[in-house]
Amino acid sequence: MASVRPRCPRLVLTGLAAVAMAFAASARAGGPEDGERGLTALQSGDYEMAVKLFTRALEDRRMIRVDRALAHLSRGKALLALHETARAEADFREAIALKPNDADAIAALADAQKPAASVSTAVAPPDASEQHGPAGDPWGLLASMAGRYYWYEAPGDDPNAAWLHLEWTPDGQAMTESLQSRKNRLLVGRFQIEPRSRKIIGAVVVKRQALYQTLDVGESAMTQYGFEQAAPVKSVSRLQADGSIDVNDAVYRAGAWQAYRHFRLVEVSRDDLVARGLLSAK
Amino acid sequence: MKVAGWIVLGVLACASAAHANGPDDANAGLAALNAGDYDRAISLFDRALASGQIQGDDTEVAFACRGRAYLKKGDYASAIVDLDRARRIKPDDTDAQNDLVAALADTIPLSSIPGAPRNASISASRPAAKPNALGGLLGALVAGAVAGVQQGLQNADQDPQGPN
Repeated sequence: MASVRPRCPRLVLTGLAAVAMAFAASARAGGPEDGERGLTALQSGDYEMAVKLFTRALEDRRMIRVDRALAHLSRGKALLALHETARAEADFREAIALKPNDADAIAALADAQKPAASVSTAVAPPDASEQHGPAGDPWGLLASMAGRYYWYEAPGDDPNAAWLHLEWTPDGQAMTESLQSRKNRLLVGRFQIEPRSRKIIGAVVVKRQALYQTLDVGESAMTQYGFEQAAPVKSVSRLQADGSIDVNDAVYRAGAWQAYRHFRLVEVSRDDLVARGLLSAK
Repeated sequence: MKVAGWIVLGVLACASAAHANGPDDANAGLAALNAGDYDRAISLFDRALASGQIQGDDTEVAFACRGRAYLKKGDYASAIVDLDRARRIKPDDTDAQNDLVAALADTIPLSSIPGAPRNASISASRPAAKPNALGGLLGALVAGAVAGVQQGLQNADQDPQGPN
C-alpha cells in the first residue's frame, strides 16, 4: 500500500453558491438540469452517463433551441469518445441545423468525418506468431502496433537513430514496449488493463524515473495522460493512412493544454533492423 | 483553511436541516475522509455525486476525495477510476495526481516491466530531483518524447545502461 498524504481539507462547495444550491436543487430532474449534469459527466469522462443525460435532456420540451443545439453537440462528443461515429455525426448535424453558425459543431462534424485510417488495410498484419494478444477493444490502436517495429522520427534528428517495439507478454494480458538506440535502451514500459474500468493504464521507465499514465485508446487514435516534472502532460497519437503514427504532445499550463512537441513513428521491418545490424537475427 | 471549512459546513447544515443533499453529503464525506472513516466517506461521496447538485471543480474534488478514500482502503482499481475522472476535470490538482500515481504504482509494479531497474524512482507531480534529468520525456508508449530521447541519443556513450 502506498503511503498517502493526508489531503488538505478543501471546501466541496463554498460560500453563497453552496447555500444557494442547497435551497435550489432539491430533487429536480429535467432538461436543463440533465443538460448541466451531462456536461459534468462529459467533462469527467463518464461518456455513457453523458449520453444518457443529454438524451433525457433532449426529451424535455423546456429545452430552448440554443440549449438543444448544445445538448446535441455535447452528446455527439460523448458518442465520438465512445467510437459511435455515425450517431455522433447525426448529433453534430442536428446541432448545426439548430444553430447554423456554431463553429464548434461545424468543427466537430468535420473531425468526425475525417476518414479514419483502417488498421486492417493501412498496415500489413504482423506475423501470426506474434498475434497472441486480446486484439480489439479495449486495446484498439495498441493491439495493431503489437509485434511491430517503428522508427522514432523526431524533427531535426536522425530518423533512423532509435526504434520502438511493442509486444504482448507471454500470457497475452499485457503489453511491453521498448525504445532503443544503437547503443542504449532509452525507455521500457508496460501497459495493462485496469480491471474495473477496462481502461488501459501504463508505466514507463526512463533514466531511472518511473512515469505512470492512463490511456484513452480507440481503433486509430489514442491519448495518454501522465505527469512530468510537476506538470500534467498528454500525448495524442493518430494512425495515418500510410501506417505511420503522428504523435503530438501537450502540457497543461495556465488552465489550458498547450502543444509543445511532435514526432512520428514509421514502421520498419525487423529484417531491415537486422540488416542494419541493430537487431540480432535470432 | 480547515477553520473556514468547518464554518461553511455549519452554514450548510443550517441551510438544509430537513434533508441531506449533495453539498451536505460532500462536506460530510470530506470530514469522514479526514477522520479516517473511509467507508463512510465513500458512501457520502457516492450520494453527493449521484445528487447532481455539485458541479465543475466541486465534482473534481468529490472524485478526488473518493479516490483517496479508495486508495486508503487499498481498492486501487476504484481509486484509479475516480482519480482519473478527477484528472480530466482538473488536470493540475497535485493531490489527485499524486494519489493517482500511487494507485497506478501499486497496480503496475516496476518488477513487472522487463528491463526496468528496481531502484527507479517514481515521478508524479513533484518536480524531478534533477530538473533536466528526463529532458522533458513524457514517457509514453509512443510518447517517448523528443527531448528525452534526443538526450538519450546524445548521451549514448555516457550512459550505456539506458533506462537502467
